[in-house]
Amino acid sequence: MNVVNEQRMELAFELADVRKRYDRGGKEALKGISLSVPMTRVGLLGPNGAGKSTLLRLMLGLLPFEGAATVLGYDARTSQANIRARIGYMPERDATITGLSAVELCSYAAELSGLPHADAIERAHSSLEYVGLGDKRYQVIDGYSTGMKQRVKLAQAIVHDPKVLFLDEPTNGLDPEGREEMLALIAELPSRSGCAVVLSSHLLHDVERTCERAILLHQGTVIYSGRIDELRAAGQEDIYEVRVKTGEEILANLLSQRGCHIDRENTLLLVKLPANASTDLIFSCADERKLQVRHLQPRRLSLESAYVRAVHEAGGTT
Amino acid sequence: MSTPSTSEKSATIADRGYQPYRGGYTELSTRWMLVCKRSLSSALKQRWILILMVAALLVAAVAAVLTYLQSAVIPSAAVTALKSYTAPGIVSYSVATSSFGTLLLTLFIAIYCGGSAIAEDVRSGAFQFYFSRPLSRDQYLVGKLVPAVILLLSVSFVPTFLVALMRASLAKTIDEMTSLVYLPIGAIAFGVSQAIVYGLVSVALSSLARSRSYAQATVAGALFLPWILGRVIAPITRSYLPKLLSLPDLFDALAHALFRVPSGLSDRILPIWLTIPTLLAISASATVLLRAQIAEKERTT
Repeated sequence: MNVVNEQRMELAFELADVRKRYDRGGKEALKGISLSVPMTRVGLLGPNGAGKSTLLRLMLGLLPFEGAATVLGYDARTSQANIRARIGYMPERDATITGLSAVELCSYAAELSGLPHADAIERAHSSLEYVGLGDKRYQVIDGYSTGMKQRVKLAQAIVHDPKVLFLDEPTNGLDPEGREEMLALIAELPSRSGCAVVLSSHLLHDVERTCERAILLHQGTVIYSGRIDELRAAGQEDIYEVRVKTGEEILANLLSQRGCHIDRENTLLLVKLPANASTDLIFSCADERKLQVRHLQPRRLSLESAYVRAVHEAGGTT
Repeated sequence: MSTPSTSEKSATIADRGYQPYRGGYTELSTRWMLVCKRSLSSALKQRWILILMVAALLVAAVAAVLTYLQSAVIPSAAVTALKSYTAPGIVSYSVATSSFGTLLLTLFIAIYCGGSAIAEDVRSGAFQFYFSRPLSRDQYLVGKLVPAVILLLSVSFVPTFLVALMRASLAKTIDEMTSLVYLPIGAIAFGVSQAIVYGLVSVALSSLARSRSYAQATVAGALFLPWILGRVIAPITRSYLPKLLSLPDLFDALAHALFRVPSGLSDRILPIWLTIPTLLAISASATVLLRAQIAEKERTT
């Protein structure tokens, strides 16, 4: 591995002005995306057609593109074999081989990724055990349910211990229970193997449940890239959620008199403090009227609200 | 009994499940063999391929008996007198092309094995499975082509070659043996070229279809239709040209040339100067088509 690659190893992938157009003269699927994404759990969020799958396939070297893209320091255009050896890919659609059992498919996947035969078989068993298919591993995949097929797809993606895992809509077709189990498996993976996860989904809950960072894609452009908590806090500076045991009306009036802007969500007060004021103002007002503060924290939007706001700020509609 | 050490006392039950991999990796250049092994094993699970291979053995056994009778029982002088052709020529041709039965078996193997080589991967989405791994298009292509060629060789070449060897070994004189030396060599050239061309054509046509049955129908049409049309139209036009796109007729012409069969034995045999460039052109076209289709599938599936 050369020096450049070692220096860039802490980045899962880096894109510079990446553009992708499917048909000559047609609509651009990706419109000049530039990103640097560290080795962590990243959610690739966007509605269907936003360009999420295109971005993943492009980084695997499956699609030609304009611009520059590196994955783990390797050029996506020229070092596809190096990238694919270090990446695990769980595609959105079925990607199995007819007539094989789960253990055969996973050991075949491991061998194709470069593991010796004996190691491949051992890893196939441990991966299938991890995804919860231990007792079904010898059954032919063709007869599996959707949930079991999703698990096999995850097992074949992690069997060779990839450095980065690309998951394309991993909870598609799963019932609520299966979905939660799949998300729990995904969330646990980095602590097991130290891999980074790039989870592409149109389901905000999936990303919120498993990822630290998010990339919001909208109509082929990136409208946000960063930490999810920062996304939820953005635009909410100096706004606090306050809940008191009783007498929220009294507190709201008092805080208004002291220059605060008050909004209400049922019994929750959303308090925007005046300039140079701190949370001490809230406590002093509550103390003045002998009210008991039960809850006080900086305002955080739900990821859904943050996403909608980011799309509107980008000039789009959800 | 010895007292357990401190470390033993504090040991916990280790989770032996999914862990980081610490082992080594195999060479990138050998990955095509994995595809080849997997494709061969899945082809051999198909009932029809097994039946065809058993049938090939039966044809070989019949050819061996006939060869023995021709060379050991019937005096060669009698054969010569009867047919007015050189005995080694007739025997070698019938051995090398091993009769109509072997030809049909070869065509059916091309249809069943070659025809399903890639189409099944398109249908099941296996392209995404393959091309998200460190495997190049050419390695995939070779991995799919080689099993088809191996199965075609096992049906068309191996029995023919063994019978040819047997025929050469039954020679009663040094002169006769010398005159039959070309027989196994010709069988190798004929069998290998036949397996490669049929393999390339059937696998290339397989890449055009999205399911096994469509692919097999396409390969069957591409192999049988020109053959039948050639047989029907050639006598009417009194020309060999209608046979130009028929692989069985092209290989018939190649066999005539390789085994020095007198031209009067069959009607309107394609000339060798036209046969070889046509076979090369068909192989080249199949290769170009195959590479283009795989590149397309890699991008779009």
